[in-house]
Amino acid sequence: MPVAAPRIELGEITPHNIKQLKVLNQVVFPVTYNDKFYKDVLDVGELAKLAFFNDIVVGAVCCRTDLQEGQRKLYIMTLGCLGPYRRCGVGKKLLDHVMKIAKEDGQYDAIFLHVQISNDEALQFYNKFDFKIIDTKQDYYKRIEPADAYVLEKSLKCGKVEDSI
Amino acid sequence: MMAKDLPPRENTLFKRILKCYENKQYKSGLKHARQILSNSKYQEHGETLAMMGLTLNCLGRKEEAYDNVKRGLRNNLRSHVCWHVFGLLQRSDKKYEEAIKCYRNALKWDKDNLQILRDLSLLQIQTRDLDGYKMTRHQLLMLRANQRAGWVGYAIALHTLGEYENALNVLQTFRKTQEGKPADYEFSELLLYEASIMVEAGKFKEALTHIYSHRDSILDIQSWLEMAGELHARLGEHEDSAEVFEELYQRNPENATYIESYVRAHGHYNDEDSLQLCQKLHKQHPRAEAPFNYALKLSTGSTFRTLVDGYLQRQLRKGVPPLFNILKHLFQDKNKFETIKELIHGYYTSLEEHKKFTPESEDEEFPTSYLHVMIFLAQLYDYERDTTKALYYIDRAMQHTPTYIDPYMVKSKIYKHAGDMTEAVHWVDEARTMDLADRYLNCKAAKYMLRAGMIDKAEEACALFTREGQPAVDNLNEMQCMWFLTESARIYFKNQDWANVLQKCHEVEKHFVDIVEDQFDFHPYSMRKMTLRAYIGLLRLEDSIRGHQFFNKAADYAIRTYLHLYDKPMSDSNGLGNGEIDDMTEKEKKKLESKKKRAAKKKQQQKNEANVNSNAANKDKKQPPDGEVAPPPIVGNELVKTEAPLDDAMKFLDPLRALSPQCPNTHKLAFQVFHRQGKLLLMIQSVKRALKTNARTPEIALHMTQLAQYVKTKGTSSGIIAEIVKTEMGELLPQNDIREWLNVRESLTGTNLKNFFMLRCAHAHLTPESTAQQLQSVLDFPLKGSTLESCEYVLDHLNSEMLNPTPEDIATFSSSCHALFPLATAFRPSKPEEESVQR
Ligand SMILES: CC(C)(COP(=O)(O)OP(=O)(O)OC[C@H]1O[C@@H](n2cnc3c(N)ncnc32)[C@H](O)[C@@H]1OP(=O)(O)O)[C@@H](O)C(=O)NCCC(=O)NCCS
Repeated sequence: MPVAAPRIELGEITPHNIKQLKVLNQVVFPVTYNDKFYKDVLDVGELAKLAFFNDIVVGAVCCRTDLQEGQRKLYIMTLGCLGPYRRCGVGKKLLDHVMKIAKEDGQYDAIFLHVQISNDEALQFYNKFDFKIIDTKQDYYKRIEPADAYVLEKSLKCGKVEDSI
Repeated sequence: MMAKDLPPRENTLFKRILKCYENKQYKSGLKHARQILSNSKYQEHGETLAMMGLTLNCLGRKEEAYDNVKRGLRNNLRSHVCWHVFGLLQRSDKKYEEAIKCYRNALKWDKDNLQILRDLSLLQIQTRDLDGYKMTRHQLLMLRANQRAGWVGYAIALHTLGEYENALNVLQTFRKTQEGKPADYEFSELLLYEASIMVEAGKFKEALTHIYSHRDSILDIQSWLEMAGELHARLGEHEDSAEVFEELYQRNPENATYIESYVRAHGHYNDEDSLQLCQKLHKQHPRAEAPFNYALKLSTGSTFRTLVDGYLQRQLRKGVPPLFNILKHLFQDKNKFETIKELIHGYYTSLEEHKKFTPESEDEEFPTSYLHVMIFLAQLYDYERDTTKALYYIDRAMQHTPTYIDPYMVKSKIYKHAGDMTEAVHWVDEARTMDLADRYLNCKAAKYMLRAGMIDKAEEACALFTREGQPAVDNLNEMQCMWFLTESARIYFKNQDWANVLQKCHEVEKHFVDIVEDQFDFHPYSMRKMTLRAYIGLLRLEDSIRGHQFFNKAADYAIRTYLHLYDKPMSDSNGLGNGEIDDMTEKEKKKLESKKKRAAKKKQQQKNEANVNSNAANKDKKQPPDGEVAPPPIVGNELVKTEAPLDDAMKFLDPLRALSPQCPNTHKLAFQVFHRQGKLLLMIQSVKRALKTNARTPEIALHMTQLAQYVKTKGTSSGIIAEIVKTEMGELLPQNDIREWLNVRESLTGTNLKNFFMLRCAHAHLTPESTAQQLQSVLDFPLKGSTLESCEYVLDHLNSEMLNPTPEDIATFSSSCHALFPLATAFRPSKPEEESVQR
């Protein structure tokens, strides 16, 4: 057992430290994100966060709001943690944050994301938090194998219905 | 001040001028002055003119100020007011000597004028006219024996002159008049000041009695305890001393001095006993680091191993970034270094396999422990200059946590140690850009960039933290950012850009002038606040401020530049010596010119832009109240045109000789200046002092030879000087045989590259025909075991034509060095410029 509980904290992404996010994403995800991605991240406020493990950046989440077919959903673009720091609760901390925002906002119908079909680790992780596979997108990825992605979603509707009663 | 020769109406006006001056209402002051002067009877009234001048000075109208004050003085040479005002005017221009003369004249006409005496005393202490200060303070005391300031001021004067007995008498007499008054902080300070004089006078017993008998009145308990502990120790009262230091330790368990003093107070114990004492202290404050660090220093063998094992695990788990630097002092002990290395290697293997520091450990570690272990390992190998292994471990650390900034810094440092500044800059800049808000990273990066010669890039980086609307360099200078100045000087020196070297060095010099100036305000302040111990400390600090390493560095570059300017006078202002221009082809010359023009144009553009901005900013700012006029800027291009470079060098050399006699470099530089000046006695003195500070300084070989040759060929043959030279040389070179002296020196120091090289230079100086042979033996010298720094040293000297090498000779030497230090850019055959493009 580890000596004591680690300190995991979330922190802001700023123009000063955004390079740490780039470095992180480069090693965590097989996909490379363009400059626009990082520019936008600076404007989404609480929807993008860094995770610090004993003061070191080891994880991050970046979301955006997605409007489609009359639905308003929270889309998780990236959520990741450096390899050596997995299974310490960093991912949970980040996902909790996302779910808290969605709840506080109250206007989201669901949270969803894409996961490469071979990514068991992520599937297990999201499964734990009640995300369901609702679709499979063929050839979702252009440069990596396998190219198919699952769409995972956690519906927030029932909560909303209850609230409005 | 009073104008005696004015009728009531004008006299009232005159008093108003004085009031306005005191209240900084200069405009109104001028109005009143003009009112008096408009009366035709008083239009030449001396004191009014003088006051008008003083007021104008405060409005920044310097020229008119001087005109008026001088005219006023001419019209009334017997007025203490006119003289006093003239003195104040000069003082405001920092012409202290002149101001003192004026005050003295003023006192001739009003000898007991308190204000003038006080002003005079301030200048005297500022200029360290200690005897004059003592006299003035004495007079002030006589005039105002009922004021505390009078007594204290006189005591300080006596103290600074080393008249301890008298100083103590004055303080004690004063103290008697204070009896019965409640003890306040100021009185407490006075008592401690008294004690500090006793300590300085070596009267330990008296000092101890003094502080014990006033224990209740002394409110600064920490100072009381420190003094008591120290005094008990000096008097051999070890038990008492230990008791006091234990109390101090309880107040602050992180103070290493308390712990050492506590241990020392137990007499001449061996390390074993000391260690036990240390551990006893540690038990009282288990979380304190200081006793533990001291225990690490004292312990050896298996005790050390056990202690350091626990310590390392704790710190690596916490992730204390400066851990390596905290432990570095232990590494001088080879055994301790090896123990630490062995332990860390053990952790590394075990963490990799079991996530535990040792297979037997109970606790599983966080990934950060493993990370810190890898970084520490890299640092250990870097310490041994095993670049390959150091890079291996640091790369592993970076792979493990690429978002952690520290390993980037360590990697940068590894490259720096390996001599590759370009790569070092790359990694430190990676670190910097990962946290642009970190000032430390920014400074480190800028410093490395300067080292690598990337001046523009360094300025760009610094601009993130300097004031907007002003070129970064100007702002850094304004902020007295000394490291930036000395690092700039260093690179300009390397580029042989003499004008800019001098510019930077003189800017540093100017800052030291300013620091000394700045003490002016503290003379009245400290006296008023009674912070006398701190005040004496300040006076002494200011006296030796140019002993600071920043001054030493600037002085080193400045003096070496002046030596160069003396040896190779400049033909024009373009910053290159004749020789180099001549060596260039027409095409190269043209290229250089246009490159320079482009750079100048760019600079000007930036300046213009910045000026526009700063003008806008200035408009909002009010004119400074006392109208200080900005000092003329320092212009390197002017400095470099000097006709008397050696005289100019003295401005930097004198403080070095006075304040940094412990640095071998001081005497090295001094010899080179005095040799060129032909000052034989001072040459002798420099060699003697160099030998005393560090006999192994390589240049001594050459300087001694030059000295011996000088005596032989140009020495004076008769007179008292000749006598002295003879005696002195008899001591330095008993056999009067320089060859023999060099041989002895060679047998003592000749295995060291730098010493070997300088010995060859000395022989070449002695027998110029042997130069080629000397050079050959340098090329044949087995380099293995030499440091990077000494290889660069020799290469630099060869490049500056020592031993007359051909380009091929230099290439030969360089490639031997390259084999030894493959990463070092200095020895790479390819041009460094191409590489910086790649990056
Ligand atoms: C998915 C990911 C973010 C999880 O991060 P993490 O910090 O390891 O997750 P946590 O420690 O908070 O795990 C929370 C819970 O999820 C489950 N879980 C996470 N990873 C798991 C795995 N590899 N196997 C089984 N369960 C897992 C566990 O129930 C875990 O709780 P537990 O450790 O108490 O058993 C991380 O693996 C990752 O960065 N992967 C690469 C990036 C990626 O694929 N992201 C998804 C696409 S956006």
